[in-house]
Amino acid sequence: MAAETPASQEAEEHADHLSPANYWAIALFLGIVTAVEVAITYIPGYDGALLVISLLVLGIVKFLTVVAFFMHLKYEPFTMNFMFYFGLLGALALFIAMLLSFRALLDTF
Amino acid sequence: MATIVEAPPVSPPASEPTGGIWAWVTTVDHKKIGIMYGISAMAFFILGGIEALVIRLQLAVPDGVIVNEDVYNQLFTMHGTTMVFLFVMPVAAAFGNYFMPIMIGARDVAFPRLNALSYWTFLAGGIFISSSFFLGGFPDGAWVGYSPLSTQSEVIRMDFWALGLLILGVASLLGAVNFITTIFTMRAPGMTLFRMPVFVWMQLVVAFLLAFSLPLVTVGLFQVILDRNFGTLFYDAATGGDPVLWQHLFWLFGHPEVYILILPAMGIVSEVLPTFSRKPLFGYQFVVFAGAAIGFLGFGVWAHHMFTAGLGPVAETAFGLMTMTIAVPTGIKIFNWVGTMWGGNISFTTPMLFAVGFVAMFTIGGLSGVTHAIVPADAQQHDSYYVVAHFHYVLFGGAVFGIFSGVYYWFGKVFGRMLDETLGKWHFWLMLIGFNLTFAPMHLLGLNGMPRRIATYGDGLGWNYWNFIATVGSFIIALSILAFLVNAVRSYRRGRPAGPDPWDGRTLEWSTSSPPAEYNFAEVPVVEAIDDFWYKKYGEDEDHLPVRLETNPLDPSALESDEEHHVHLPSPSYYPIMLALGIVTLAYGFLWIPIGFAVMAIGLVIMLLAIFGWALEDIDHPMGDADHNGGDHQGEGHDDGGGDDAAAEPIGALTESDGGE
Amino acid sequence: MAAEVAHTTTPELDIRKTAMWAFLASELMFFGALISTFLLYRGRTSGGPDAKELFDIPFTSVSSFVLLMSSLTMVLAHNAWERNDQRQMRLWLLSTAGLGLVFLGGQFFEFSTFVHEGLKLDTSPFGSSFYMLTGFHGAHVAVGVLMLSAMVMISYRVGLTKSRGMNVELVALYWHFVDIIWIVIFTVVYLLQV
Repeated sequence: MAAETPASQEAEEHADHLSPANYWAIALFLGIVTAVEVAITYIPGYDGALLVISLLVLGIVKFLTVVAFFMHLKYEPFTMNFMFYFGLLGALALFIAMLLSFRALLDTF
Repeated sequence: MATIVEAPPVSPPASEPTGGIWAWVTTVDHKKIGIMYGISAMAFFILGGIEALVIRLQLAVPDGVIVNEDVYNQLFTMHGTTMVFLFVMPVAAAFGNYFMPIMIGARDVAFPRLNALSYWTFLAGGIFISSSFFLGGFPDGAWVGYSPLSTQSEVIRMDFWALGLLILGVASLLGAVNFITTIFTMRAPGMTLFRMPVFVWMQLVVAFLLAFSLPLVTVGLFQVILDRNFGTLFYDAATGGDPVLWQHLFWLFGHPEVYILILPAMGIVSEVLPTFSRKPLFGYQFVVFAGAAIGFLGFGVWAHHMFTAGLGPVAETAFGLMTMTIAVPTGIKIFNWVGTMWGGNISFTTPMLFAVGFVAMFTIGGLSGVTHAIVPADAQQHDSYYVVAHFHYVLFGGAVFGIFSGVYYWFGKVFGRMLDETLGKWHFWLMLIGFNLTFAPMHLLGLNGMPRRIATYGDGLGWNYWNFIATVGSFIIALSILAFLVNAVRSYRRGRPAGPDPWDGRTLEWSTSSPPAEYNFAEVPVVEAIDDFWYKKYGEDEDHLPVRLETNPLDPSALESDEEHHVHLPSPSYYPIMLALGIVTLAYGFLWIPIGFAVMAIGLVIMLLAIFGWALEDIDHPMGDADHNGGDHQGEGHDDGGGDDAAAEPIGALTESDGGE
Repeated sequence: MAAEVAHTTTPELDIRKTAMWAFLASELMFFGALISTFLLYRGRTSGGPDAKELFDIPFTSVSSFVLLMSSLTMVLAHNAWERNDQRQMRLWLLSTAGLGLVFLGGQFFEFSTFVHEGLKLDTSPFGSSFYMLTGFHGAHVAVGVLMLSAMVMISYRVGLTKSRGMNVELVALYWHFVDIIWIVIFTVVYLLQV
């Protein structure tokens, strides 16, 4: 799911058996992403839609990295993946629709 | 065929109760829990029915004086709350508990103790809400609990309502997780997903609907409670809060909820129609996919309950279109049921009559439902008796007819004796006539402008005649229920013995004894087809007509009732009921803060003791491991939440986090 | 006994993990509703302080980092449990619980600062929804800390070997879930609002 991350490429070679070294590497990656997230909010002129999109993308990368590797969902059977991602996408769709009906989403960010 | 492994008899822990009421209180057997669900739900059904009769008496003539406005508000609120949350949902859980594991060839659900906790939490929540009658009056803000009715009244009635629904939500959520896990992991060999009976499929869809929709109303209910007790401003329009948010959160749950109510009945009917038409279900895959599609689409239509709330034309158009789309999978199902009966060798037994009644009445309710999808028409129908007529056609004409179909179909399996057919037919015809007399006139009343939730109406509005007819009809329904109760009590005592397979059934539950042994199957069945049991009984001749085979496919337990089969079963446990007691004590205490803090503390202590007892139960009796190979409860490494010692902890902990929500 | 292999049609599906994922999917909806409420009410401050005045991003970044790193210690505990290394497992479990407590302490400090600056539960819909969301998240962290402590105690009593159920794995799933919810909250509720 977060296949673009450097940690995931490393992890895929190890398939099911991530080692503590892998976990440290993934944590380092997550820490760096968090630092980038915080840093870009302080860059003058880097704001508006660009900032919003960047923050959302970075947040999604972190979210999916933890789910796929720390929670091992990448290595679990289809059923578990289905339940979780179905719930995730369902929640997103429902709440975006609800907030849109309040005309409250587009001016949120 | 799986072999029976004869294990040495399990010596029960010293504390294990052996019989009487404690055997029921501590049971973790899905069948006993199913029976308790069913009986409790019937009791609440009678309670909700009495409330309905008082409502109808009040409305029988203009300017009714039976009850005042305050009591009337309480009555219709509790009628709705009781029938939805304390009757139809638990009855579906009753059938699901009793038959879902048997129908997939399992010996119990995945987490038997969690299952017991679901039941006791449901019962505690039901008693909690109903007890408000003695403690200041029933809730009075309607079953939808719209703010400000739910948030601005001073008395604690709506606290009872919100807390009670939270407790019931915990029960349903645990049940849903349990059912999902059971269906995904505990099917007998060969029981692929697309060989499962449609009833099991519908239970699976319902479990997903519950798991995904309950948290939404949970958040809303917490907001109501916080607004009422801690001064938060979620629904306070004066400071920028928005009561429409509650409508969204409620109907985001509430619309999937109506499919939670109807899909189990659809599942029952999909079992009954083939059995009594002596034909396989027409288009099995279509019925399954249509059921899943109804569940999926059901999440995308909630705002059609809010067409008069001012959502704007774009949202109203989108939700109107989505709502009409649901008619497609529903129509598919109805045509498949008709196709099942077409050309069949139909026998009109009582369960079959109720099933056919379901199809007919539900179709009427479905059609009036489509009229609500048309936004301008809905603006006229909103909050009128037309809506009352519509949802009673789907929920009474649909769900209740389906439920009674299931009761007559499976009563013999559960209690070993058949319900009486003559009284059963009286029940059906009285109910069909009474139902139509009660609710068909409400279409006319609604279109003539009679609003819902009014305690009385003036003379000369043109509503007198049909209101009187509706009241007469409601008492005919009551009479039919009386016929059922007499039938149930008499047949339980001295009905015709059922035998293992009284209806020449198609699914696995008919291959066991009636009632089934505690372990369900002495030999775990190996499944080779949809309606496997039928194809083990019947072959085909050259004209493709069924021919009875010589072999006897019954499970050994159905034949040799005296023989002891030593199958390891989870031990009974006191902790589920204790935990439920702790939860409800906590809720009672909350109502009378600050004095209630002491009660809440007691509740918390009970809960903590129960959770720790639950978690450590198997560590102190580490027989689970020893028996795992011999008894073979559910296969290697698979645990029932009661067998594998330390494993129980996260389940207790999971419950704890639920209680905290 | 040979038949036991084919006992269920889906032997690769662990019962308790399946239940846990179903539960977590349900929890997604729960937090989704809480976050949506916050997004709806974020600007409705009713004269009280708003996000820009209150939020202290450097402070919250540190506590977010702490929670993120607790996921690392959790996964290391899980790894040690898989290798049946009880001592290391206990060490990492305790570190996870400790990091969780640090996070909770940070949240307590943040709440008291906000109250001091004039944002209470009943100040505005913004305040109500902020405290409800972060409060429920904090309650989940607290439950997680309790479960981690229970794990450590059980491991002293009977040892958490692999054959003895999946406790550590389930608690780990729960803990990581609490972490990913905070990842969303940190981005959507904090970073995007200032």
